[in-house]
Amino acid sequence: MADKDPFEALEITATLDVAQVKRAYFALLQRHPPHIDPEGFRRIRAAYEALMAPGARGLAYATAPIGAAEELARWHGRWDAPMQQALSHFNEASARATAIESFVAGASRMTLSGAAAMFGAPGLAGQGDGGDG
Amino acid sequence: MARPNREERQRQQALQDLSTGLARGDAERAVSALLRLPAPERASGLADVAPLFRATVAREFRAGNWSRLVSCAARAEREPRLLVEDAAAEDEREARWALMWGAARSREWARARLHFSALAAHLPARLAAAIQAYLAADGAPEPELFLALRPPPQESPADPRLGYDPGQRAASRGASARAPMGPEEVEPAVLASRALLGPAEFVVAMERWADGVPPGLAPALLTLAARLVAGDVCARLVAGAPAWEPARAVARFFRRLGAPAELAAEATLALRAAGAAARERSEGLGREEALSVAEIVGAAALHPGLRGAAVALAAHTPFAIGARSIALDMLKELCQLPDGSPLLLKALGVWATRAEPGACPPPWIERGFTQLLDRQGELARCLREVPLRTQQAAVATAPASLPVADAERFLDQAWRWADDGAKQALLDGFDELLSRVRATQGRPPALPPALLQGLLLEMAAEMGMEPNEGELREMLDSPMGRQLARRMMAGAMPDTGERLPEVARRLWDRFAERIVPYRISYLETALENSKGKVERDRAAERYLGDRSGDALTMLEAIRSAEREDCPRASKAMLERLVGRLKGDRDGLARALLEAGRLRLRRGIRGPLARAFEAVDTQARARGEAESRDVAPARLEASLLDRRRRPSRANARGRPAKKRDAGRKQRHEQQQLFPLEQSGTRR
Repeated sequence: MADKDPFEALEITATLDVAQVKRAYFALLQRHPPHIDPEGFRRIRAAYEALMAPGARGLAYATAPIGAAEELARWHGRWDAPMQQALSHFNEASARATAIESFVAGASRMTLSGAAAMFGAPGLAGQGDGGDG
Repeated sequence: MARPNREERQRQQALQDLSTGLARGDAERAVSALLRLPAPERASGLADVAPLFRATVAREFRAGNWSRLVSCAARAEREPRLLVEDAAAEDEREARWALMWGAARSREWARARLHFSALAAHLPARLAAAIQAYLAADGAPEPELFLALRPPPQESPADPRLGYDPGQRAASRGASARAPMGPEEVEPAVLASRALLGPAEFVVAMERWADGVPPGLAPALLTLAARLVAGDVCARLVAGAPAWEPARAVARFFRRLGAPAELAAEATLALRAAGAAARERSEGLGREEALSVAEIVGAAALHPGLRGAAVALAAHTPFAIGARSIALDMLKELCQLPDGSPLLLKALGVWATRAEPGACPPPWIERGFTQLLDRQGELARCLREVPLRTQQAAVATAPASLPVADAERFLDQAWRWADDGAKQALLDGFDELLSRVRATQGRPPALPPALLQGLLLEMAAEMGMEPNEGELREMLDSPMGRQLARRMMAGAMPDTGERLPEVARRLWDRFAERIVPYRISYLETALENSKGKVERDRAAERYLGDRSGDALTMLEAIRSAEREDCPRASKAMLERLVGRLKGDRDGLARALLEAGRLRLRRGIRGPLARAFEAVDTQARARGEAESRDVAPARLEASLLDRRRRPSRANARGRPAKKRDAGRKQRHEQQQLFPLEQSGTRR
């Protein structure tokens, strides 16, 4: 595996795009011409050659450090709001479904007179709950 | 006495059962018997059976036994008087209420609605409306009506002694979203699930949903799920924790969806997470990590845009021996993809790490190499794309294990790619192949493990090492270790000096031109198998190549030939050297002195000395000026000549007396080779 990140040396994010690599290299070449900055030139040349060798770009791309924090921030920006909204809807729907479920569970365990008292029938209220206790 | 007819017998039996049921208070038996009686005859029994029936209904209702209540409801439908006979209106309604709920909870909606219709007028309006809505919608009404109702009491009371809190249970039960049933439900359901569940539970839930939802919904569901799981990959990486699990989940979803372009970013993230983890490892990946890499890389490689990166990662990831089978499975899959050919080299190396001596690679590797070698230039491309250790392992293994025809093509094509270092490894491969062809007519030679072990131990001892059993095993497992041992064994076996057999001769002829310059032993083989002087000269010329103009280089080559016990090569080069320096007094003088310095044997120095003496005599006769090398060379030649002549003792027929060189002679030699003489004395 490569020791240094050649993309970093060329001052670009990891990419499989040859054209982007070349553009970055030639742009840096103007800043570090070999007769003025031989060390800088050697560095960018080594990075460029490391990326242009057969199969090397793919490996460099696959093993380059990931900007995980930026990716995560983007992910939160994209998904947090929809997820919150979906959660609210879910809670609401859940409360509604729970209301039906609770009603059925409760009413089906009461006697008729108990249910009538619970749900407020003036004529039947107070006749007692002879059911589930 | 006449036997009663069948109906009468049944009637008698029903009456008897009815009586027994009533006597025992068994409502089931009594009601069943009552219903077997003709309708007009039931009246007498009803007065007793109906109260028993209603009491049973009340008991089952209290117990919440909904299935028993459904069967009671069915009987009440057959005999409605069971509910009304001798009953107060409230008792009848309580019984109907119980039967209605029994049917509703058993999802027998028509039966429940039947009993509800008899009750509706007697229920409070809100309650009647709610039940009406519930039954009319077959248990799935609009919830608004119910939200307004006061919540009924819980099913069971909280019991702190048992740690049971019904409130909590209800909350957790409500915290799992329902699988989507239509396209519009997919996004809300998946997002809500992601918000409610932990990462691992979310993945499990999504895979379960994808199996269960209508077929058209699975792609949208898994696509969204993969995007959400990608967030877990990032979160793990940010936290510095391994991201294998979420990355594998992304890969699984990606593969299941057929590697769609819209998920390429997520698959890339998973691949790079695997790459970053593999980069941290200096030793081979174990089984678990290998499984993860295999799953992730295998999925990523399905996408054409990611295939190169996936193949490169697979090629550069080291695997521990324990993960060998996992790695091979992964490589087998990847090798079948376009652009996956470089991984054949890796596969061969991985296979060879634990292959038995003499074993053949799996058929898919052999087939793959056959196809690879059919495409001109492809092997060289593949070799350039794999790391050095894979190149070395492949070059060491292929000639020893591929079928001979392919091994030969491998050497042929790899030679065009190889630099000098790689060519040396290929020459070892050539030796291996030649020995295979020579010894077994093409089968890889199988060496006894004990012999291999012994040879390796011997080699290690020569290098001052004492490997333990594990280290020895490791050496034996490596292709290069085995190759080394084979070479040692070949070296230990006596050279019969026979010419190459026909099949080996063909192989030799194919490679001789290329390989002769690299090893003196090849020149020897070439000379052994040459058919005449022209061929011998060509072989020597080929070996010497650019070196043929330099006497010192030629002498060094002669010395190598002498050391390697290649007399033919030595003789051929000496002839060429003498021929080349013919008439050149200074050149011969220098060569003679160099031969002495290199301590070549007299058989080599003699012809040089004679050639020098011949040309020196002529030059002195012509009075030519001489260089500073001539006089010492003349002395050296005379010494050699003196030794060559028979001694006087011999001439008289007595054995020669052994003695040291005389003082004068020693002095002369010390003048010529001061360092060597002093070295010899030490």
